Amino acid sequence: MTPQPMQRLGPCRRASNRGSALVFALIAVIAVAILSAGLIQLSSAISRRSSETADNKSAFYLAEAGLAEGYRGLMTGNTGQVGSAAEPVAFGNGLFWVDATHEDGFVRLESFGLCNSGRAALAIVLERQVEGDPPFGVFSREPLEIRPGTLIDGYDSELGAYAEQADSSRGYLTTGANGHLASNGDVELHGTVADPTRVHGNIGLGGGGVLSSDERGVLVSGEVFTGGAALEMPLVHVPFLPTLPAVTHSGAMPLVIPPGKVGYTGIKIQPHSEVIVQGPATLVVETLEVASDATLTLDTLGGAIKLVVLATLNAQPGSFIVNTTADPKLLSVEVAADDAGGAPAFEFAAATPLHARIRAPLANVRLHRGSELFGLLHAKGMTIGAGAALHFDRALTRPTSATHGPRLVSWSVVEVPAPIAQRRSDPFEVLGVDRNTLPRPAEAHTGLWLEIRYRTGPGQSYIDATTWYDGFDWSLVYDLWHYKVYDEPPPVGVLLYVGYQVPLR
Amino acid sequence: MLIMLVALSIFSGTVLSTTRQRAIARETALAAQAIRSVFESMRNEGFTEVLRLYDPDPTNDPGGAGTAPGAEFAVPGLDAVPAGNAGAPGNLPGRVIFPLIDSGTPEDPRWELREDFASDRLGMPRDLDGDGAVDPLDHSADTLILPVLVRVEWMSNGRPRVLEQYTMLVGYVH
Amino acid sequence: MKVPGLRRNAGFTIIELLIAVGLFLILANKVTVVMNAAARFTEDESATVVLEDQAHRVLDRIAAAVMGTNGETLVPDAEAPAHSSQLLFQVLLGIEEGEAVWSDPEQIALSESLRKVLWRQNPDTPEETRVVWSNLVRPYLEGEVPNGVDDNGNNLVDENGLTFVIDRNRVTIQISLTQQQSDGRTLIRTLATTATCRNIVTQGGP
Repeated sequence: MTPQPMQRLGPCRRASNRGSALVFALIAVIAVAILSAGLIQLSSAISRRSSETADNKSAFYLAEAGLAEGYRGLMTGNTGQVGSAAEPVAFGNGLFWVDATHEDGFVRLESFGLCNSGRAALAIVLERQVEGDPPFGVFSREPLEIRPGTLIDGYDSELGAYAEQADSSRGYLTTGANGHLASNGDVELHGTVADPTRVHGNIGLGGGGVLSSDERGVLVSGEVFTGGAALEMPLVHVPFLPTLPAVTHSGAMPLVIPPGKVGYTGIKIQPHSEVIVQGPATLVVETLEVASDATLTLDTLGGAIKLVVLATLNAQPGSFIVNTTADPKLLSVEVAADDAGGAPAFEFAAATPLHARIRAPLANVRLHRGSELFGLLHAKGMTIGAGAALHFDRALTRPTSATHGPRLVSWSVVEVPAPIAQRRSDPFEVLGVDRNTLPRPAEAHTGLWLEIRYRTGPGQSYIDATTWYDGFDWSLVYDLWHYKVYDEPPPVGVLLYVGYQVPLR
Repeated sequence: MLIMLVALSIFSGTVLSTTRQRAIARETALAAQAIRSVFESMRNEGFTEVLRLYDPDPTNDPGGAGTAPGAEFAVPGLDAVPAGNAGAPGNLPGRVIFPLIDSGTPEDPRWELREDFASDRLGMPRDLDGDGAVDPLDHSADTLILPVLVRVEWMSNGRPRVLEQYTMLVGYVH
Repeated sequence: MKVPGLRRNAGFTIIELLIAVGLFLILANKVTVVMNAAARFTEDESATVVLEDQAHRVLDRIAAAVMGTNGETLVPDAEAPAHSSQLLFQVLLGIEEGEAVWSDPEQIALSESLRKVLWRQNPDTPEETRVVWSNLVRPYLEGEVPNGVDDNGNNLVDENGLTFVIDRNRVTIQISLTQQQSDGRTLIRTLATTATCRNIVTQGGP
């Protein structure tokens, strides 16, 4: 057989497994992968931002919890410091700590809250120079002179009206007790047999003052205490209110100032006219003048009224100032003026008794002849006219939760320290702490020191004590002169504030 | 073809999961905003009123029975976890929780603010009234500080989700 | 005759090629349809998220500002049901030597076109600075039209897309943002939050 020539079948090609379908498929897959990656990235960024926002809100409220804890510590004899950056407090789903700084009667609390990726820092400034009013019905920072015929006694409005607690067994209407008065200077009591002065209460002399009285015509039924430290008076805090122009009211129709907070540059009430202030209200006036036969009605039936006088308050003879409930706890008159030795900023000659708490830390008060006051009168200086009657309401110096505690002056957001702000991972890792070993908020406070002057019972002398604040038994206190709080044991420690009322807690 | 199908399914899965992720993020933001509204509303009230306004007892509401916001609240856009699920309240998604213990009966509940309430996250038990001791008495009227938790629980794509925020309230003197 | 080592180099016929390309085109078309739908869905989702994100950020900024201010000094001071689309305030920065230190006057308000949220410091003065916090605001709140009636049942009448309602020291802020989509549809998101002023400050100090 002869081999046939090889038939050419065509160009001799190797078997080719190349195919464009795979390329197209790969391109499509890559495109899909890129799209997916983009989607995932966008979605992750949005989720991360959303959870950071939620975490920041959580951290914010943890920081507020820190401020609350620090404030509560200040109310219970602590510095306000809660934990520290090295040993924060575990609370909720994160942690916080509070740094406290005391300076010149102010306390600054800075609270740092951390929760997952959230960070927040807040600060409050509190004022705490003097805690409460000195427990005296009449208190003058300067020497005090009392004219003949003056009656000073006391009652308790929480037990009823004065008339229900007084009797005439002594030949004149009086409760016969609790008419405590004090001065940081000398006290002069004047009286005559025909026109005696009666002080049914204790007399406290701070700052080295001396008591002098006419031999006859002066009765002091309580005890006299000398050698106490000078007493301090909290200053008047003027609310920040929009102010309306001055008003001069005359006419038969009363001018009614509705409940709320308002300021006036001046209010002048003409004779035979009436202005009614309806509570609850805060009224700030530059000058207030009530003419003869004019009436200022402070209607406390709806709520308490706070009257803040920036310059002068003048109730002329024959004028009427009426507290409709006759409850001194519902009417507060605060004179912010500093009359610096000039004419008294507060002149009271009204024909009707006034039921109020009156304070004028930087001004002089003059009670004209025959004035009658139920409540409390504390002023820089005062002149009490002959025949005046002052009835101290003990309920006014009893501490309440609404008034007892450092005063909040400012709240602000502050910057989170950079090392903490930049690291947004778990806060326990960032600070290098173990949640299980961290203290609880109530366990992380720093205590204060107490220097106190008090009596344990009637007829007892005042005693002085220095002790850890938490360790003092306040139930021992019958009469309190004052207490001073220090950050360290005195005399080394810094004086933080002075108090005149037994703390609520 | 197979590769294309696989790519398509992966892409679809990615779209679905990112959509779910964004939905969760949106719902979490709504929950956080609702919790803030509750905390801010509490700050607007007097400290002594907050407990009565936001506790589960409608009979002690300051303005009259049933007038207060109460302990539960709705969150527009979020569905509550149905009753019967573990830990679910069953009515509204939002809930305000104080250290309250019911010392009454199911028919006549009596909520008390108690120092011996156990909750590590709320820092309890602890002294609330400042007397230095922890006791089993009702301190609704004399507490100095009020720990509070606000929780929002909602259903998201068939699963329960929860957001909690904690704070403490105190009565500042102004 | 079969030659060892030689494979059959059968190529594709034109018909096979045409069928393959046709199938591929059909498949690619389907994939494109699916991806377009997904892209449109994603675009909607993204737009919603962006709108909500912007709304949350504006609300958070306003809330932070309100918290630091004094409720007594908010302007306007009209309480609910009165409402306003602008807020004038000052933030308390702190205490220096016993005196409160306030920021310069600030204003948060809608622009004249009612489409932008503007933050202005020292408004209407030569030192004014301004920042646009959002340019997607709806002129009126969702569901509301300017007809003197409460259309959306929130006890407010003709409220703008940014609305403030004051209750004592608490400010409720509502915002409606809107965006036009590429296919002509309009997306609207409405959110609200509450913030309480925390500074009740006295003037003058000690």
